[in-house]
Amino acid sequence: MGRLAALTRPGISLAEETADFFLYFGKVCAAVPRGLRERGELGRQLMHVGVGSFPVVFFTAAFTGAVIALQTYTGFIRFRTEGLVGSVVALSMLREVTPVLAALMVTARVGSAMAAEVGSMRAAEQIDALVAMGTDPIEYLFVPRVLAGATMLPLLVVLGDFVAIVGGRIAATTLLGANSVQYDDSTFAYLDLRDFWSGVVKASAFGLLFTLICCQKGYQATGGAAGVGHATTRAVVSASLSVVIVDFFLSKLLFVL
Amino acid sequence: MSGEPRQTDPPLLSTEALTGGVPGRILLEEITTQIRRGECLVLMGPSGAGKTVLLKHLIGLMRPVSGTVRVDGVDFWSLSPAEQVRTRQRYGFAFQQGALFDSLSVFDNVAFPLRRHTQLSEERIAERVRQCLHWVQLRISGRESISELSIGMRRRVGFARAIALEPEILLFDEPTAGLDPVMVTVMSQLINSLKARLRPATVVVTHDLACARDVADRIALLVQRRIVAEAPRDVFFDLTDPVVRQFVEGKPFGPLLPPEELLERPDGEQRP
Repeated sequence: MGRLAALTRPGISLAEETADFFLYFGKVCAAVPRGLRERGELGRQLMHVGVGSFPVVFFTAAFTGAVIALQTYTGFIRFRTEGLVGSVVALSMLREVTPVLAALMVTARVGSAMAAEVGSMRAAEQIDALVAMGTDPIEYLFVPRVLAGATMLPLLVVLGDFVAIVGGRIAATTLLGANSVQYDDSTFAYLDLRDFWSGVVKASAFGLLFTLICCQKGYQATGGAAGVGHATTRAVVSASLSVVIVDFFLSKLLFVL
Repeated sequence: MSGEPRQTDPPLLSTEALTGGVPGRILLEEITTQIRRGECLVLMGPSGAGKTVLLKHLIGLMRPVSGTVRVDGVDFWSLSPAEQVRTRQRYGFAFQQGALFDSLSVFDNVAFPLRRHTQLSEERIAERVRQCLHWVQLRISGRESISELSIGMRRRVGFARAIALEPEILLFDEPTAGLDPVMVTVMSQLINSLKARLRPATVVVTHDLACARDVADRIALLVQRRIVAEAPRDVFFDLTDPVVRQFVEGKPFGPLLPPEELLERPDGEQRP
């Protein structure tokens, strides 16, 4: 019986976490109309998630675009298909790498801060104080953060896509001596508008996912400083894993449709 | 005096057979009490008796396992969520550590309920914030961040925020804990002046006998999840109940202390 319980525990805990996520998702959706009135808090979060994360996304996208160009070029040259490097960089970055890496980087930067901030508010009874003053914490804390995540991450990804393509081009043309005209042609030759949109849609879903998970873990923090630390770790791990897992299903869905 | 509670007034806040706690643990049992407008009930008792838990039940931060909390005769938990939010706006809750929002300045903390629940202009809000800070005897500009304040000042900013909406019900959690005797008197005077000014139903949780003597109309002693004694202030301190005597006189041995918590007297002698 003990072994059976040990085997089923991770499954039960995953099911509970998923149910919990959808419960909070429902609460946030219901609170969006009232939460939109939190202009000050929304503005702060838009700045924090969007403007504040730009340098991180910029460098991640630039170097990832460059490294993909380097790797594919050295591989493709063996098959004399180096003319396709631009396409590979653009397709992989737009469809997959920029949204996922940007989501992971922003989760590390902003999500951890959200979990720690909301968790500290719970520990310092500030969330109780909000409720005691007739304020719904979902409306005041969750809605601005989730909206900021779901709107700013796609914008960051659009900028990241551009930076990644430029980064790849610079690496290929300056370091490897690729023909710049051929590279530019190749970049846009096989690119479809849907490749771009799918990355943006993914980014919006990831933005919603990581902000909601991080707020929720902070909100459910128990105990003092140790509890907040534990909640922050759980938030970053759950949010990052969720991004990677949901990415698979979204890719399947978006390219089948 | 207009601030005196009238015995004919119906209770503004009452509990009936209130049992509450957290999942798997009962922290309060069968609490029945009532507080009228203008009246101050002081809840005393040893640490861990359930005083703060009772306070959190009174404002609906915790849901009772059984029994009721009534505000103006209406069961709080029979209200819709929107009505609960509106009802909570009739309360002011001063938390032990202030529970101030450290991302906001002192001014924004006190203005927080005003900006959310009133249509006042920013000038009127500023005027009201200054007035509230003046009432709690804080002579600061309001631009200070919370981290710059001492614990006593934080608590007073918490008081100011709690009274910003002129609440009908005021709840204080350990308003004098960790303060020097002078500040204890200041806090007690402050509670009395707020009582006189706003005539709210007030509940004060405290360990401090001096504070209780100063502010209480009635005192209830909460021991191991239950109210074991409740009496008007002047009567309470003369009660002969051994639990009350032990608490009031601060004796280490007696019915208050469970046997397993102290096996020996501090001088090494075996306890009787």
